[in-house]
Amino acid sequence: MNNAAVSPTRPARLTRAQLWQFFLWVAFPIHAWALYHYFRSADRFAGRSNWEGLGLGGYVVLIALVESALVCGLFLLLGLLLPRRWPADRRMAALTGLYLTTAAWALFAQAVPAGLRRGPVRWNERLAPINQPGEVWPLALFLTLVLASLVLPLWIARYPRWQRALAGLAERVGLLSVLYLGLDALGIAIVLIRNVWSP
Amino acid sequence: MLTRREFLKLTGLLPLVYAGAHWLGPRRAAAANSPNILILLFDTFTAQNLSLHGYARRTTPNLERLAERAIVYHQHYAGGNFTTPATASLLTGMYPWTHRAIRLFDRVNPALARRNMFAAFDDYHRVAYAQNPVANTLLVQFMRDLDEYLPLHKGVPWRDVLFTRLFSRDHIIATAARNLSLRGEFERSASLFLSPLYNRVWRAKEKRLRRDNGDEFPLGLPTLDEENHMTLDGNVDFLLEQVAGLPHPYLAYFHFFPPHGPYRPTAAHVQRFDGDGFEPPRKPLHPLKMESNAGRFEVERRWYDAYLSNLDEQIGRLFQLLEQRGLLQNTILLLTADHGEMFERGIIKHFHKSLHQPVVHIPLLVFLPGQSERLDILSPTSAVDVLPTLLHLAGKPPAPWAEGCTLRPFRSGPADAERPFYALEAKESHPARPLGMSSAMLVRWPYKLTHYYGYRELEVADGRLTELFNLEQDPEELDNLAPQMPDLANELLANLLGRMEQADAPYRS
Repeated sequence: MNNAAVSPTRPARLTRAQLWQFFLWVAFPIHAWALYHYFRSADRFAGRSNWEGLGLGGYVVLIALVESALVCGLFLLLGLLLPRRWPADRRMAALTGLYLTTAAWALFAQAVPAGLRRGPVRWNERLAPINQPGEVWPLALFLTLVLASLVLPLWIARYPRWQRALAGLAERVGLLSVLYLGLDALGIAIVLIRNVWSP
Repeated sequence: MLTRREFLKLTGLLPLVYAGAHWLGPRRAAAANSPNILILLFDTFTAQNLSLHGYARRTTPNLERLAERAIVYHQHYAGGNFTTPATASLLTGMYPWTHRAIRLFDRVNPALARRNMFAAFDDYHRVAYAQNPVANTLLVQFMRDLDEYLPLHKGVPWRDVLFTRLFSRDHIIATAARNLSLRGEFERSASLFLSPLYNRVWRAKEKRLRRDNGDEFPLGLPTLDEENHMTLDGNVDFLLEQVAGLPHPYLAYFHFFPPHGPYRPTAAHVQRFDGDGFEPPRKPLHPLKMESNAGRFEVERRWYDAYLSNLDEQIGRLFQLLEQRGLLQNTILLLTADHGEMFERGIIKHFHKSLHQPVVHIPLLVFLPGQSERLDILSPTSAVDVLPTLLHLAGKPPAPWAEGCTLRPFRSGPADAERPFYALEAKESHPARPLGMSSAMLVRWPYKLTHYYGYRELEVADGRLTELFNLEQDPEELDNLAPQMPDLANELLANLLGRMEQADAPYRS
């Protein structure tokens, strides 16, 4: 057994710095994805004025900020389900890893062409003639992947080496997220101006 | 009894009272006996599919009845083939190449923004409502010339509350951001986690709406964008409610979304034309065709016609209620459209490059107070004529910027035969640059010339195509006369290109 994992000297609760770090970790893929799409669709809005283009961007980052806060809150609630005896570092590593796999799945779901995403349905159709119940295969596949996504981060969070690696990654990504939060502040200002001072 | 201090305080307000009396008093008093003006615009309402104008399907029995005491314009033309240029032409009295609102959600050139109908009626109480977000963009631009701007969501009972209400002053951009982030308008959504949730909630709402209204609306509840819903009878009630309390004289502009697609007639109308044996004239595919699925064209046309029939029923109801409530007394009512809709030549609906009759030929009916007889105006007219006509009817001087003129029978003088009318489709061009890829139309009765420019799919030099039709002899535009009448085609083309060149001059630098 890993002694560090049960050390009574480490506090089980996440510190404020860790909470902030986790929020920045959560905000990173959400903002990167939102901004990527905003610029990707920019030509569609090229006909509008610069102020309207900025307005659109303002709302997009505002939505990303709200989404980050909601998702962060949800994961912290999920964190309450982790064993109470886990020290803060392990708890943090587990949440960081869980979010990493969840974000990867969300990206996969959106970025991969719909045809590929329907793959499991096609497998199901192929397997249907061998008398398998219709819903079992996609469900089994889904459950296997979900369980693997859950188990993997929880399992690697046991090891201090992985804890340090995840913490280091989160710290680096957090720096970029701070830039995004600066854009959020700008976005909020734009949205406020458009709604308070525009006719 | 006032104290000395209170008296002194009140005297401090005297300059304001004086200024108020100076600016408001005489201005309002001058128009006190003037007629009210109520403009009813229905989006995507082609004259070609109205039995009022000879369409074989009986789509508009109520309009036919109401027309018996109206001035009916039989050759009325829109300024463009979709809402932005066409509505801007109606509201400004200028052609699209002048006002420059040529792309979806464009506004009028800011330097010309005060040249609008509402500014011209500054001594009237001016109220405007547009259910189409694209037209609403224009109303937002003209807001400083409105006494009452009715936000889009006011006439939309089932709506996306969060974005239209929370950001009611900026709901167009907020809604565009919602579509980008949450609705996945571009296949993927800009939101990683919220969009599946949002779409799930939205689908559940849709399902509930279908369940609750499915019996009455077999094709679904009428909608702006599958998210904001209204009903045609609800629109009538909304209009009556808004008009009832307006101070006189008023200029009220109501731009309703139906019969714009998706076509969602009620159960009483949806099968009205099923199996009726109607066959529209067969027309060859156009070089700018979009698709050639004849089956789809037939179904869409049938549903559109059913929706027209549904709308016609509500127009009948609206007039009945307006009269019962005395709201038509001393009120001039205009019933018109922004543009039309088409289902032929491999071209469907209106957001395309065509300027064929179904997309530019729109209805215009004028109901004068106390009018009891029908008057038919057969000469061609344009949406840019509406503003000069309204000013004339209200006893006002003409707007110097307007490119149209007062309509008959309110004007005497030479006939309209030699007066050319125009329409423009240039959604691929930039409004602040000279026009590029575009379709432009000129009507000089009985001829109509359409010039397509810059379309690669035409597979000719410069992507040019010129078509010339004699609308009197060939109202279905089947026989292109351009090769047979090159002199006339060249003369009309020179006129059209000259106007475009002139309008482009300020944008060449």
